Amino acid sequence: MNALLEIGVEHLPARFMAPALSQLETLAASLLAEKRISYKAVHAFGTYRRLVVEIEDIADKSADVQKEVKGPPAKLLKDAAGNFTPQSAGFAQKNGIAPEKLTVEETDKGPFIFARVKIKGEKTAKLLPEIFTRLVTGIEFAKNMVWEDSGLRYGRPIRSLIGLYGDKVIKFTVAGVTSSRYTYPLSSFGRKPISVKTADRRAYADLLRNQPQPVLVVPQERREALIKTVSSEAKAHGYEADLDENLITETVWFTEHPVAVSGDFEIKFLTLPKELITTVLKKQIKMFPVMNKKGELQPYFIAVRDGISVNQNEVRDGFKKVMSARLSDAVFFFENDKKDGLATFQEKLKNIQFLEGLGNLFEKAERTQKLAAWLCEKTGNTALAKTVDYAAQYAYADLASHVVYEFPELQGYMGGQYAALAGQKEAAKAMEEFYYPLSSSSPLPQTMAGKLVSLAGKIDTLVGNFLIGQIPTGSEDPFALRRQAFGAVRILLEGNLNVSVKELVEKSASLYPAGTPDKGLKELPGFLGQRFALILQEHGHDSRILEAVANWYNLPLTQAESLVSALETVKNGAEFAAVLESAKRVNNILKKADVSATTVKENLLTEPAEKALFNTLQTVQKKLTVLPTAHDKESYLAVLKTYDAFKEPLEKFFKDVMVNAEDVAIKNNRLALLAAVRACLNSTGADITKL
Amino acid sequence: MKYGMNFQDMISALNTYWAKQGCVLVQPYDVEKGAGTYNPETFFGSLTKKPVNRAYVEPCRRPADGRYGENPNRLGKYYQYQVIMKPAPANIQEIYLNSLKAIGLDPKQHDVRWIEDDWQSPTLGASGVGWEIWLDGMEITQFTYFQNMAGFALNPITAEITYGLERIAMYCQKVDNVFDLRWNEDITYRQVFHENERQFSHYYFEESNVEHLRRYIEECEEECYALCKKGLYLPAYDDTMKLSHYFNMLEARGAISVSDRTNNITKIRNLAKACAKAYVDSVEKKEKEAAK
Repeated sequence: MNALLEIGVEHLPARFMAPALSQLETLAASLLAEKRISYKAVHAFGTYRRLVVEIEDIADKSADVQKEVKGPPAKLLKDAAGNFTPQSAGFAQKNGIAPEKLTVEETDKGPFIFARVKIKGEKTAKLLPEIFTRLVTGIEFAKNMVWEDSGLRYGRPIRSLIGLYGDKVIKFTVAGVTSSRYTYPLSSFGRKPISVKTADRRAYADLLRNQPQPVLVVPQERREALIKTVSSEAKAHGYEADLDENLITETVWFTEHPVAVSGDFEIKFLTLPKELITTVLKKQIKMFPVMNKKGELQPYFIAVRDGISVNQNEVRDGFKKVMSARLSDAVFFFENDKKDGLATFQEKLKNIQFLEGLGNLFEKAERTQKLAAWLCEKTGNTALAKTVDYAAQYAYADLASHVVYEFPELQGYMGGQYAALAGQKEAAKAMEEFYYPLSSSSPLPQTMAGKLVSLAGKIDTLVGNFLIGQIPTGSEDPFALRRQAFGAVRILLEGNLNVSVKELVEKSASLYPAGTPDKGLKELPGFLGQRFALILQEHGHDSRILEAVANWYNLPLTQAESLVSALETVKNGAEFAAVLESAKRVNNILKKADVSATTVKENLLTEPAEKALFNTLQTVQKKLTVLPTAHDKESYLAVLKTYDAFKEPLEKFFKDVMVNAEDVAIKNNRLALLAAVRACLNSTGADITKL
Repeated sequence: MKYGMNFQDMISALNTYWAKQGCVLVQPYDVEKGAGTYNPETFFGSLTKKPVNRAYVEPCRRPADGRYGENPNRLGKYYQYQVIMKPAPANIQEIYLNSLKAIGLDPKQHDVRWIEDDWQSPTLGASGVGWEIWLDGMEITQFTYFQNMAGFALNPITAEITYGLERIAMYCQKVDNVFDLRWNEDITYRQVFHENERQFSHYYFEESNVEHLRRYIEECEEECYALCKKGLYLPAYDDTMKLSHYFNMLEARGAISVSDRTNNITKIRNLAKACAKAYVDSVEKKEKEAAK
C-alpha cells in the first residue's frame, strides 16, 4: 500500500519550488527512518499550487526494536540476602520487565545493570498523522509569511491538505486546515473538489490530467509539454524558439498546464539591441523570443498561459499589447540614452556612490582608467593603450543610462552598444565583456583589451572593499567579491599577464586618495590566494603545495603555477625527498641558533664532511647561475633538480659533524654554511621544507 | 455595451461586489497620498486586533509621473480601488477572481497569473507578501498579505487587494490612450481630467515653491510629533500623509539629492511609527480601562 500527501497552497513563487520538493523527499526519508517504517521509495513532485509526496509500498506497521537501557551500577542488583534491591526492582518495573530478566554488563565505568526492552512496532495508520504533519511543517522556504491564527510560517498560505493511506483518509490538521481526499482545479477554474480515491501517484496524476482543465502535476511531464507547445508554436511560423533554460525552468514552476500563445510585434522594434529585446521578453514579461534558422531575432513572441485555450485570440491581443507597451518603453529609454551618450552618463556617475566613504563611481572610473593604463604598460600591451583607455574610462558609464536603470542585467552590454554607436568598435567589445566572467566557469573577456579593463575594475573593487573592511565572511558576500576575485585570478592566469598580485594590489591602493583609511587590505592577498588555490585544484594540482610557495604573491600567477607544478613533479623523487628531510633538520638547527650570516669562511672548515658540503654548495650555486631564467615549469624543474646533489653531502654532514663545536668561530661558521645551503635550496622562492 | 464597462460602472460594480462580501464602503480620504495603502482605514485598520473589512476608491497623486496630459499611459493622479479584509478569508483568492467577473473579466476566458511580488513601503515601514496579478500579461492588481505596518508585526493578518482602475478599464474598453476611456456613456476621461493633468503637471514641475515645501515639511513634522504626544494620532497621521506628499512634490521638482531622499524617507517612516504607536497605546489604554 502507498501513502500520499498533497499540500494545496496559494501560488508559491517559482524559485521556492525545486528546494521545497527536494526537502520533502529527504524529510520523508528521515521521518520514516525515525519511525522505523520500511518503504520502497519516496516520490516528491507537484506544481506551484500543490506539493505532493507519495511513499511507495509503505509497511503497515513500524519495525519492532530491541533496546538496551542502562540502569544503576551492578552492585545494586541484589542485596546481601540475594534479593533484588529497591533500585534494581524499580528499574525493572520502569522498563516493564521482570527483575529476573535484568542483566549485568561491563562498561567503561565498571559493571552496570541493563534492561533489554522490546519496543513493539505501531500501525502505520496511527503514525501517519504525525509524519504528514511534520512533512508539511518541515519545509523551509527562502521567505516565509503568516496568514492565520496558529502563526505557522510558510512560503504561502496552505488552503487544502490530502492525507491518504491506501484508500483511507488520514486525518491531521495544520494551520487550521484539516486533511481530506479532495484536491482542486486550476486556480481560475473554481473550487469544485476533485476526489482522490487512493494513494497512488500515477492514478493521482492521471486524475488531474483528465480533468476538463488538465493539470500536469509531474514537473518532467510539464517541462516536456512546455517545450513541445513552445517549439511547435514557433515551427508553425517556420521559426525556432529561444528555449532559454532559466525561462523554461521558471515557467515549469509557475504553470500547472503550460499552453503557448504566439503573436507578432512591430518590426520597428527590431532596431533595438538584441539583448535588450530578449531581456524585455524573457525577464519582464516571461515570453520566449523567436529566431529564424540563422539565429536572427524575429518580430514574434511566444507567451505561455496557464490552462487550455479558451478565448485564445483575445488573450493573444492582450499579450501583444503588453509586449508592445514594454518595447515602446525600451525604445524610449534607448533613444534617450543615445541622445545623452557615454560622456553625459559619465558625468552622472558623480551622483552615484561607489562605497560608503569611498567616493562616487566617477572617481572609481578614473582609478580604473589609470590602473588599466598601468596594466597595459606593465604587460607589454601598449599597442592597446587607446582602446583600453576609452573602455576603462567609460566602463561604468552605462550604470547611469536609462536602459541599465530599468534592466540592471544589461550592464556592460549596453555600454558596449553606446560605444559602438560612438564608432569605438574595439573598446565596445571590451566594455560589453567588462563584467565577465558572469559565473565562476563562464567565459572571460575575449580580447586582451577586455581582459585588462575587466581586471582593473575588479581589482579596484576588491581593494576598495578591503580598505573599508568590507570582507566576505562565511556565507555573507553581498558584493559578490569572491566571484570578482575568482574572475581576477582567472584573467591573470588565462591572460598570462606578466604582473604580480602584489604589484597590482599596491598600484591599485595607491590610486585611492591619500588618507583613505585601511581597515583590512592586508587580508586581500590571502583572499586572492584562496581563489588561486581553487583554480590550481581545478587544474589538477595539489593546492596544498601553494603553502610552500609563500612568494606566489610576488610572482605573475602563471609563474607561480609553474613553480607549484614543478614542485609537485619533484616532490616524491627519492633524492629530492631525502634532501627535503635534511633541509628540515637544517631549518630546526637554524631556528634554535637564530643565525643570519651566510658567508662561509673556508679556512674555518675542519671536517671533511663540511668541506664536501661546501664544495657541493659552490657547484650548485654555479649551476644555478647558468640555468635559464625563464619561469616555465621546465626551468623550475632544472633548478629543483640541482638540489638532488645535496642528498649525500647533507646526510654525511649530519652524521659526521657536530654543529655546536666548542670553538664559537667554528660553530658560527657551520651555522653560516647551513644558512647558505638553506638559501640555495629556497632559490626558487618556495620553501621546500613546507612541502 | 460594445466594449467593456465604462469607468464609473466599473467602480459601481466593484462597490456592489465588495459590499456583498461584507466590506464597508468608506469613501476616499481627503488628504493627498501616493497610494491607497496610505488611507487611514488601511494604515490603522491593519494595526488593530478587530476584524476590518473595507473597500474604497482612492485617488493617488504621483507628482513625478505627470506628463501634462500628453502621455497615453502616464498620469500624475489616478485611481486605485482598494480592498482590505482582516482576517483574510480562507477563500480570498477565489473572492478576488470572482470580483474580476463582476467587472466583465471572466478568469476562465483570460490568462490570470500570480507572480511573486512582495510589496513593501519604506516610508510606512510596512511590508507584506504576495503577488502582482497579470491578466493576459498585464499587471492589473497587487495582492498582499500584510506582515508589518509601521514596524509592528501584525496579527491578525490583513489581505490587501489594490486594483489599477485605469489600466483595467483601458483593457476592458480596448483603448490605447487613458484619456479615451469612457467615464460614462457620454463623457470621456479626457473631459473630466485632462485639464487637471495639464495644470498639475505645470504646478508640480515648474510652479511649486521649493522653499515653501521645505517649510511645510518642517511644520508637518513638528506638529505630527506634538499631536502624537497628546494621543491625537488621527490628525497626526494627516501630517504624515501631507509630509509624504510634499516630499513627492520636491522630488518632482528635482530638488532632492540622494542623501536628502534617504533622510526624508526615514523622516516619514518615523512619523508613521509615532502615529502607529500613539494609536496602539491608546487602544491598550482603553482595553485596560474597560477591564477595570
